[in-house]
Amino acid sequence: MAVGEAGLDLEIAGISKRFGSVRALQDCSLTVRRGEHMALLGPSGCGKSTLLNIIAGLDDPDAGELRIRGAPVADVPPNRRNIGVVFQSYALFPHLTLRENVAYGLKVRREPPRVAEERATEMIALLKLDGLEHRYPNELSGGQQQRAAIARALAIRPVIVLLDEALSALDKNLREEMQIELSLLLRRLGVTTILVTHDQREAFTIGDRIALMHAGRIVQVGTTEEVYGHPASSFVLDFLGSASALPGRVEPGSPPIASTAFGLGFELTAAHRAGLAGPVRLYLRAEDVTLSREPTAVHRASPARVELSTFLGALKRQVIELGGHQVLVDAAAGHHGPRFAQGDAVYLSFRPESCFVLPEGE
Amino acid sequence: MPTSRMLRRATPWLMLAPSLLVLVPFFVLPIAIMFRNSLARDNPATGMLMPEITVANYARILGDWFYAQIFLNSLAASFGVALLTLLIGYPFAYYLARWAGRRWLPVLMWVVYMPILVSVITRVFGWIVITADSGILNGLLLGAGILREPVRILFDISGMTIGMVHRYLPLMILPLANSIAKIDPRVLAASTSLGASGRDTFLRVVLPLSLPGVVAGFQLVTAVVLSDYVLPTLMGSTRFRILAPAVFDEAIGSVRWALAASLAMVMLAIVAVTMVALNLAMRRLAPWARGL
Repeated sequence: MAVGEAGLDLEIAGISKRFGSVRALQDCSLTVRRGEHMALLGPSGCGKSTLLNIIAGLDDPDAGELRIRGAPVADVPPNRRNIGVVFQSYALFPHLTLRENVAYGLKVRREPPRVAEERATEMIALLKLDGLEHRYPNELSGGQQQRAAIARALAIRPVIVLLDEALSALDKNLREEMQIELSLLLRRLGVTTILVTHDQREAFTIGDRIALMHAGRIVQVGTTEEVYGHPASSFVLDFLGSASALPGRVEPGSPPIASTAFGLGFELTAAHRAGLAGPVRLYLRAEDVTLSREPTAVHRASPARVELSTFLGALKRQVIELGGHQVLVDAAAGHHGPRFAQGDAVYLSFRPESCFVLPEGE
Repeated sequence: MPTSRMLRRATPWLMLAPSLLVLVPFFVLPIAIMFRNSLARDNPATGMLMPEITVANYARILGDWFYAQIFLNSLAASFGVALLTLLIGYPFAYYLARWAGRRWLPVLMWVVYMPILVSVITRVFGWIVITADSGILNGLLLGAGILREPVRILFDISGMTIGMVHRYLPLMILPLANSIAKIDPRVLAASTSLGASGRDTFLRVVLPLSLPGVVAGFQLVTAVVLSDYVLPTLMGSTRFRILAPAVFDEAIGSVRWALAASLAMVMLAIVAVTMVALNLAMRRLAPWARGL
C-alpha cells in the first residue's frame, strides 16, 4: 500500500468490529490532519468509544486498517503508539500523587529523571495545578482530577490525544468552563486531538471537524457549520439542535411544491434536494421558526395552537401543536415580538430554505 | 418525644448486644482470668495455682533461651507460611480477580473455599498418606530412582509447613483477590497508553494497589499460624517447637497452668504487636489507602 498522505496524523480505513452478534463498528473510515481537533459525536452505544479504544490499541478491529503518521499500527502494541488517552473516569493512579501521576508516562518511558521532573512541572503549571502536586487523587476535586488526567496524557508529548467523554463527569458550569479552556489549550499546543462525546456543545466547542456516528457507522464528517447547516440524514437532523419533523408531500413541478395536510406549503428552492417527490418529512429547527397571529407565506390555513411556553433563561421555548404534531419554537428571551399565551392560535413562519425536506423513511 | 429519642440513643447498643453477650463472657472474661492466672504461681507439688501476684513466670519465659527459641520459631513459622501463601496465592488471586470471568469465577471460588469445608484432621491424614516416609511422594521418588532413601517430610518443618500452607491459603487468596478485583481496569489501560509494558504496569500499578490485600492476608495468616495447635502437633517436629503446642505441653504435660497462662499472654502480645506493626507498615507504604 502507498505511504500515507503527508500531514495526516491518523488514517482509519474500513474499520469493523463485532462483539458477539453486536456490530459495534461497520466500515468506518476517517482521516485526521496534523493539529486538527476531531470530535466523534453520537448517542451512547453508537460505537464511538469502541473506535477510540481501537485507535488507542486497547481493542483490535476485526477488519480495516489504521495508520498513525502514515505507518500501519496493527502490530504496534498500545504502549508503543504514543497516544495520550484521557478517560471518562480519569483513571488516575490512586496510589500516586498528582505529580507522580503526571510523571508516570515519562518514567515508564525511561526518560531521564530531570526531563521527567521538568515536564511534570511544566504540565502542572499549564493546567493550573500548582500547589496540589503532592495530593493523592482522592484529595482532589473532580475538576482538578480532570486537569490532572489531561496533564498526564499531554506530558508524554503524544502524537494524538484521545479524550473519551472526558468532561462528562463534571457539573454543567464547570464543564462549559473546561470546554473553552481545553479548546484554547489544545489549540495553543497544536496537538492532534480526537474527542469522543455525546454532547453537541462539547463537540462543537472543541472540535474543528465533527464525525457523526450512528449505529456503528460514521454517517457524516464535516466542519461544525457543514454538519449543522447541511445535515446528511434525518439522524443528523434529529441529533444536532432541536428539529421538529412533520409529515408532508412534494408535488413535482417547476418549482416543486412541498405541503402538509395541515396548512403548511412552500415552493422548494435550489437549497433543497433535487428530484424529491411523494411523501416526505419536513424538518424545522426550533430557532428557524417564528410565530404570528396572522396567516404567513408558508402557513395560510388551519392555525396551530400554543401548548406550552417555557422560559429557559437565554431562550424562550414554545411547544406548538400543529395537526397532531409538536413543533418546537425558540426565541431569544429578549426578543420583542408579540407574546403568546397557552391556547393561542398561531401561524408558523420560516424561510423555505431553512426547512429540511427529506424523503419519507430516509 | 423523649421515649423515641431514648430509643434512638439505645439503638446502637441494642444492635451490639448479641455480639457483646457472646464476646464478654466467652472472650473478654476468659482472657482476664488467663491474665490473672499468669500472675499466679504454680505449686509443683499439687499442680494447683497459688493465688499470689508475681511476675516470676514472665521473668522466667522472657529470660530463658528455651522459650525465646519457641517465640522465634513461631514468628519464623508464621512469617514463612504467610510468605509462601502469598507467593502461591498471588498468581491465583490475580487470575481469579482479573481473568476468570463470569463462568469460571464461581468454580474457582469454590475451589478456594473447599478445603475449609473439610475437617483439618481429615486433611492432615491425607497429607500423612502423601508425605510419610513410606508415603506416596517418597514411594514415587524412590520408584523413579531419584532418591535412594526416603526424604523426611512428615514430622518435620517441611511437613508442618505444607499442611499450614494448604490450610491457610484461602485466608491469603480471598483478601488478595478482593483488592485486585477493586483495581479499575481503566487505570491499567491508562498505564498501558502512557507507555508502560505489562511488567511495568504490574510492578508500578497492580502490585502497589493490591498492597492492602497483601497486608490483610499476611495479618490473617500470621495470626492463625501463631495460634495453630493441630498442624505442629500432627505434622511437625518436636525439635522445632512452636507456641500453641508449647502452651499445651506446659499446662497439660507439666501441669504448670500459671506458666502456660503467661506464655499464652505473651503469645497474645506477639500477635497484637505483629498486627499493629503490619498496620503501621501499611500506612507508610500506602498512605493513599487511608481514604479508600
